[in-house]
Amino acid sequence: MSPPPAHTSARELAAWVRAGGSAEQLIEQRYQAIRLRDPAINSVRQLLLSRALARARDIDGQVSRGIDPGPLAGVPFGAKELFDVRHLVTLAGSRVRATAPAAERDAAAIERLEAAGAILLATLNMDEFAYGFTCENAHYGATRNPHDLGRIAGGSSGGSAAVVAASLLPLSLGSDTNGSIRVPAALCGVFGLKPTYGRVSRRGSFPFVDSLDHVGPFARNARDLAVAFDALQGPDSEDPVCASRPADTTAFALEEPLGALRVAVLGGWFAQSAESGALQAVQRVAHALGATQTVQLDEAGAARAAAFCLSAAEGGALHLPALRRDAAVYDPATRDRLLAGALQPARIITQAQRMRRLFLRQALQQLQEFEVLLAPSTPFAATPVGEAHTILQGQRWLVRAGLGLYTQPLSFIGLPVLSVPVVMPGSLPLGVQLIAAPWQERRLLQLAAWLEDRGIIAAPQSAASNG
Amino acid sequence: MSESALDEAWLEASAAALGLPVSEAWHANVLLHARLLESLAREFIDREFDPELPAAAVYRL
Repeated sequence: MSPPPAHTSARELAAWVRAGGSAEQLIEQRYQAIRLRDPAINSVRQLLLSRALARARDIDGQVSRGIDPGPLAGVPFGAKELFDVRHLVTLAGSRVRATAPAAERDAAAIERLEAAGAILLATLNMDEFAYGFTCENAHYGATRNPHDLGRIAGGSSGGSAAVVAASLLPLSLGSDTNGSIRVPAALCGVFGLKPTYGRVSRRGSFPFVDSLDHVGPFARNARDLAVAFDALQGPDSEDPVCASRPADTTAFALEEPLGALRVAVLGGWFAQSAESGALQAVQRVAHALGATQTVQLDEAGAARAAAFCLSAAEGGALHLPALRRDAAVYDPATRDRLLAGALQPARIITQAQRMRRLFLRQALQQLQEFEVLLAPSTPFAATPVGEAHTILQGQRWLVRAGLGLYTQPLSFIGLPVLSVPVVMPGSLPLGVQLIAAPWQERRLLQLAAWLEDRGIIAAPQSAASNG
Repeated sequence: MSESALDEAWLEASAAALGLPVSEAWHANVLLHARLLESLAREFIDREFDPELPAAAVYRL
């Protein structure tokens, strides 16, 4: 019984393994596919074949003894290179940490996916220390977009998005501080969930901005994403930020009727500076939902500014000892921003935190009236690799900064946001953010499944996935 | 003293105070980013917020 083909969903792969298909053969198949096709994409940093095969044999043994390995039985996945993997140095996309000690245990997110039966096969490329939106890494090269290899994958979790977009792996893990799950998910045409701040444990993930960091999954469809999220979520006493509230499982709810849903489109900040395709993608989703109202979050621009400054200042403070020692080893694009951040006054942090509370209050008021808000994930589609600027409505924008315009204000206040790929024939992939009140991930995933069942959203097959 | 000379002096003094080795070759880019941060910070740094809005970094939703 040969393993199922590349585009098979994670749930179908798990069903195949649970029915007696060989997880070991599945891992071999995916390993060979990555070796053959990833050099053109550069999504993978390290393949963990021995570890994955040992785990696959264990899964196969469980099945043969009548034990259910879990809802992700035998499903291979990858993790952004900032998650601890036992016996490996957590490089976080940098050479600065090359001499750091190896991790003694896996990150919580890896442990949880593996507890559900999944198998870690690869670590994945990223912007250095997660400080970027393009995944152009000076040390390890750019990750290329599987839909157009001349273009960026987006970042910072670019490897996590590209490996799923190319159907090399059905699931991956990333992190999102200012948009690092949603931006690459949008540019690569896959689903990416940034859960509520505190919903998923960050234990064993290399930090960037402690007060903004989130961990979340990527997948090619809403139902796979829900199964992965269910495995990931829940309290963790080893992460002081992780909420004590019990897990709120979602996968079963995706088969239930959606029911009435109050949806509005975010205007103002979230409609300025976007190329027409990004706004059309939002309108396509809004039209399918009968959403006719537009609302504004008046402080979104100031919130984005505060998130930007907070990231530089907190990130700069985190890296201060390493910058004193090894500044010349950093990617110059990362180093100069961290140095500028390290020199900021403490007041920038305290005022940014107050700005966060103010903006959160405003957003929660809108979310009392509307259950879901819609906004573009990015103002524009993937740009060519190496292009520093882009022109939007006659204005010149830095690509690295501009990609986060619509994601930064939302991660700043910790709301759950799901970036979904909108079907736009003939165009590069574009994403729409589905935004809800804290802890309402289930509603977002339900909505995504509903839209997917009606052909409004879908992960397109990439040219790079045919092989 | 020109504005750029003042910026240079600020960068050198601040970096020295923090023990940061900022090579001269990096000055232009570091100052570019510092000016960007300064311009963005103007949107909130001097605002008078409701005193009930805490500045705590870690928060519970």
